[in-house]
Amino acid sequence: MTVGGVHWRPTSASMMAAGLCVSVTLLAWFGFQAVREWQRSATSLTEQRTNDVADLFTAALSRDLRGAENAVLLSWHLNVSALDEPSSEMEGLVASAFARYPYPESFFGWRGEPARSSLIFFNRAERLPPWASHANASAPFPVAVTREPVIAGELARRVLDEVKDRAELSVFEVLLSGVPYQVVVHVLYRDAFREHSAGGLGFTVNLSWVRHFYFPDLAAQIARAAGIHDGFALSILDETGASVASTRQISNERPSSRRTFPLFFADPLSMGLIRPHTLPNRQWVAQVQSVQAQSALEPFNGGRTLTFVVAAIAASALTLGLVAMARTARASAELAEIRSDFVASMTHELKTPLATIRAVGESITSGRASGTEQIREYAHIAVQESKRLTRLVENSLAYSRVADVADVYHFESLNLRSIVVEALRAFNSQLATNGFTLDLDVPGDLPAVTGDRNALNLLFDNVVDNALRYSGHSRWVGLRARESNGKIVVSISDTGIGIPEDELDQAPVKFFRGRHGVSGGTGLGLAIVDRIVHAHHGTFAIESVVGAGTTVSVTLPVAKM
Amino acid sequence: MKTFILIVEDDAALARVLCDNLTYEGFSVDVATSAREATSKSRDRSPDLVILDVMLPDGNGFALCAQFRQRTGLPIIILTALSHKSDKLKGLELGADDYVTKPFDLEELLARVHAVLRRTQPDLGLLTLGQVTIDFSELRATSGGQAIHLTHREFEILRYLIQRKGRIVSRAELLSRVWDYTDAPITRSVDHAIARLRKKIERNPHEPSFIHSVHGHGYCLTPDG
Repeated sequence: MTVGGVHWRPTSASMMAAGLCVSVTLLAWFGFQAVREWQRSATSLTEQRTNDVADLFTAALSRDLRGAENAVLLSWHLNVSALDEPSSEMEGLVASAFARYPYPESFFGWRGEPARSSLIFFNRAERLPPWASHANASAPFPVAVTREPVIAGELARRVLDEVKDRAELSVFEVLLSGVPYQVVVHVLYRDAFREHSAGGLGFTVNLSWVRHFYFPDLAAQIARAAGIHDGFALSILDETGASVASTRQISNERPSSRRTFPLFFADPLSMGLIRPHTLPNRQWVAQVQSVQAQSALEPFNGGRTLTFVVAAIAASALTLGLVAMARTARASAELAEIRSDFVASMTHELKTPLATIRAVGESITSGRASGTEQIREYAHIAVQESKRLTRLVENSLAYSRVADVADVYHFESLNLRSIVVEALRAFNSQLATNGFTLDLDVPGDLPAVTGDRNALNLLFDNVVDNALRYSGHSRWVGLRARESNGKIVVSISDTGIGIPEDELDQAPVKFFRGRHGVSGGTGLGLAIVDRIVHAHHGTFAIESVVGAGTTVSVTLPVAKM
Repeated sequence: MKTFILIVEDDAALARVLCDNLTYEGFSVDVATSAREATSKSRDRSPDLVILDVMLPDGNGFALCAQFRQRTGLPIIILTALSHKSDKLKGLELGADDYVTKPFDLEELLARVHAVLRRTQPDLGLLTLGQVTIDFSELRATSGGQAIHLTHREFEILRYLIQRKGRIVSRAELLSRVWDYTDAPITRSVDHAIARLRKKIERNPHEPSFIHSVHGHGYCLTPDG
């Protein structure tokens, strides 16, 4: 198969296409796998980081929740006698706890058995409990010491229950003035059997307040302190799953890391890990979700299909690139072949007249050609062949001249017939020697055209040369010119071998020679004609039927008067 | 009888110079400017040698070369501007006897023409047809040791037929090549000459063993009887 003059082997083409398909498929597969692997790694890393942050979040929460117990209750080494009357030492300890931990609303203590009359309250001055009397609310000290008989009675009753159980550390929930509280109490006993209370110290946590203020503030503080505010969303959910606190919007569709923690404002270990039956099971959840990594992975959240589509698009782009590269390489190969053909044709066209001139010379010098008439004829042949050589060389040079230096034209008003006759003069000998019939119909009174004399001469020289070359056995060439709508149309016809329809468009392309261009030619003739015609603002058309002949029509505008 | 050379060359000037030189050398020469014309002329008048150009206006000389060799086996010298090694190999593989590239040395081309003709037209020397022996170099003939008289034309007829032994040679071809009648109408001259020749060399001229008549076509010489 021949494509544009290039020999194309179907087997090689098929193998190349198959190879390309396999390569692209493998590439797409590798791309898909690579993206999946990257996705898995990124997911794994994100999960790891999320878990680490979740551990950190939970540890920080737990530490803070048992902070007040550790700071006050477990470090309380005071003699219970200190609870007979409020002492400045006790008040200082409570004030310090209030400053470090926001959740205790009030501390309370007693000496002896817990009773309505023995409980003393150390309230947070700037956030008095809703049930507290306001007598000392305006005191500048952060701790307001009060006795609240009603509340004390309620608390004493609950503490007594704990004492009956001989508990050293008790956590229970209670409603005080209709507000839910968690109460943490540390009881001292007089005897080793824990039958008689020597006194105790505890604190109350307003569950409603901590839900609305403490946990949101604590989550934000942990996020800021750990430097993860931008990358992660921290949230706390209660035992029903309702959100208590959240540093950023959490998406239910994205993976997150969750840790449960009991809502104890005390160290679970010090309670012996046994939850009192009176204490509701409040297992809250600390939840961490990656925000940044999530964004990076977002394009791949569609799963395998989307990843494969991305890989396929990349492979397709590569395929297009390869195809474009192959087309470029093929075009270069075609151009190289066309140039090679040009060199071969040019060589052939030069060699034939050279061979004739040499044979003429040797015939004369060897004495085979003798007689005045024969020698005169031979001299004439040598001159004609020399002219032919000159035309070949000039044509080759002319192409680059008319193609690259268009401004060398010198336009003037010209009589077309004189140009045509001048061009035909160069073919007189060839026409006579080979018995050509030239049918010339160019009226002398045609309007003048504006053109460059040398260029138009070269133009007609080439179209006539082509017509003679391809006239075949008919040896007839017609040259006709007419005026039509302000233009001169010159038609050069032959009844020769014709040009195949699929080669008509390429005929004016430089170096192109048709499949039937076996009798020589450089492939420059019509390319030169095309250039000159366009430089003269004219048009150029070829009509041809294989086996019937070719008509080349050159249209030039009439000169403006 | 002159050796006939057909030049197939579309370049009229070169064909003219070649034609003149070969004629000067004593050959009978004709020119065909296209593949179609070459086929036609070679069919009309069987050439002894073809000088063949490759790039012809209506076909490729290589194809014509293969066609000539397949049909007639006649000697061919390719004369072309195609000087690439692959072109030379192609021409020789297709059956050309020689390959000369343009521009060429005229003396060398003529020498090659003679060389190819020598190679392809072996020296006939003595021709034996049964008891008859013909010596082309001395232009003498004997039958059973007795001299027999053959005319110059009869020697030429035998020479032409033996050079194409086994092939049918038409009356027109014999007229053209032996009598040198190019445009003459077909006459009985050939038949009369063959009849006279048979009487001299055949044992039974009515049932010839060597010169056979092929009805409607011509004659064919078979030296082995």
